[in-house]
Formats: sequence, structure tokens, C-alpha cells
Amino acid sequence: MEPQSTLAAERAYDAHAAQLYRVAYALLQSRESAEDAVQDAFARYLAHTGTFRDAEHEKAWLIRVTINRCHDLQRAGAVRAYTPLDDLIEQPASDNGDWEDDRPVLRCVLSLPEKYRVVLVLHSLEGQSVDAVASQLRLTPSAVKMRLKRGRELLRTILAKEDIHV
Amino acid sequence: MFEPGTKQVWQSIAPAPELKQRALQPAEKKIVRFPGGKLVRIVGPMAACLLLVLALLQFGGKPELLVNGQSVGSGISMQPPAAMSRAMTQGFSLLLETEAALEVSGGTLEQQENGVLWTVDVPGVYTLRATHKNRSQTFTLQYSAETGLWTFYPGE
Repeated sequence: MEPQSTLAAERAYDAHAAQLYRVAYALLQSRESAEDAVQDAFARYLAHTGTFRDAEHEKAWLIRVTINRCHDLQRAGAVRAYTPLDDLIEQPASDNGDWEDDRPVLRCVLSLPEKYRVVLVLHSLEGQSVDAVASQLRLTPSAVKMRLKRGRELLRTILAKEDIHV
Repeated sequence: MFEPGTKQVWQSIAPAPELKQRALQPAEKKIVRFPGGKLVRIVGPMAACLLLVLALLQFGGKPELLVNGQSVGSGISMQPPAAMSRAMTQGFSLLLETEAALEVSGGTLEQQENGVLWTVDVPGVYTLRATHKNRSQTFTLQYSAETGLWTFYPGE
């Protein structure tokens, strides 16, 4: 089988790279390492000789590869310097004040244990269905629901402790 | 659970535009992995002091790793030169002479005139996989905080 074409990779990049980057950042909390993970995911995409059933299958594959690459970096102790969330977010031109209020909530999400953080990011912030998240993380839908439930409970506790209201 | 604004702020996070070019290069052409000139800062002083040339030869069996013509055997340890101590504790570089295709678990591979420069920017455990004519061998580069040495040895 032929590897993926550059054209297909460019289309996949335009469609998914930003989301992959945010997922990688949620795991590693380093701008440079998140970029490395995305770059490596696309290196594997370009070398991948299998076929994708549809766009969702392709996205799930890319998310899995990105997460695996993040874990490789963590295991190797090769995660680069921490990048604060504020460094990644630009104040929108038409800011009505919410921008200031949203960042503490996101910081609390990023402080959650990884297994809750990833499902909350994919489902609640990226807007993916439970089934899609289950496929991307190779979990059962009920395991995803359980992690979402526990993650939300933990997040509420943290938000209350920080006196943050959502 | 989240306000629409919170999702919007989260989804406004995007990678730098130049990542696209890096990400879409075929793997064998990948060079740049250090945004912000980090590679230059690390390699620059290292290049002046870099003494080690590893020859990776292939004779139809597993690619054999030689250092100055001597087999690596169970492994070699490398003491960073004193002048380089700060840079070396942050990272390390190996110059590899080989015809094999190289795949590493971290850091960067940069094609140079006299070989492939493998640079890792933080202490840790890294693996190198050399593949030639459908045969491959794995090597490990490991930093020990106790001894301050980087060790390079065949196997995982």
C-alpha cells in the first residue's frame, strides 16, 4: 500500500492540527512539546500505509497517535519547558470581559489528573461525542462517561475551592 | 458544564503557522525541531567541543556500532568536557556516521556534511533505531544524574 500523499496530509493538517495541538498541550502543557507531538503525528501519518474509513476514523487515528507521542515524551523525560496557558491565548479584539473569567476555569481543567483532563478536553471543550472520544482513546463509552462524571465532580470541587463560579 | 465563551477561548488556541511546514515535510527531510533557535544555542557550543564520532556500519547482519573502530560492547560512557558542563547537563549530541535510516524517540536528527547529528535537549533516556536493508538494531542513550555521564549502549 502507498503512504499518505502530501496533499492528503495537508488536508488533514488543515482539518485537525489545531485540535491535536490543544490536546497535546492539555497533556504536556508545553508549547514546544505540543508542537513536537503534532509534528511527529503527521510524520507517522505521511508514512502510514493503511486506509482510513472516513474523516472520523482519520481524526481518531491522529488523536491516538498524538496522545501516544505525548506519552512517549513524558516517559523519556523529554517534555520541554512549561508554557503558561496565558501565553497561548490572545485577547480577542471584541472582548466583553468574559475572556478574563474563562482562563481560571481552563487552568483548573488543566490541573486535573490526566485521565479526567483528556476526556473533559475532548468531550466538553472540543465538543466531541462520547462515542468519538471512546474510539479515540480506545475506551468503552461507559468508561468515558464514568471519567467525565468523576472529572466534573473533581473540577467542581477545585472550582469551589478556588472560589470560581461557572 | 462550560460556558460557550470558555470553549471559545479554549478553541482559540492554535499552533504557530510555521508548524504546518514542519509537520508536512517527509520524515527523512525533517531537521528543524527546536523553535526559537534552541538548536542553534545548544549545537553552537557543542560543535566546538564535540569529540565523539560514532561509526555505524552495516555488513548484512545487524548494523554494528563502532566507536573509533572499536565495538561498543556493553556500552560506553561519555564525560562532558568541563567547559561544556552546563550545556551538557541540559542536553547532548552524537554525530553518527551511517548509511542506515535512523529513528529516534526524542530530540532531533540533523543531516550534516560528515554525518547525522542527533541532539537531545534534556537529560533522559532515548532510543535510536538504525535500519538498513530490512535489518535493524536499537541503541539507548541515557543520562545518569548520579554520575553526570551519558551512556550509549546497544539494546533497550
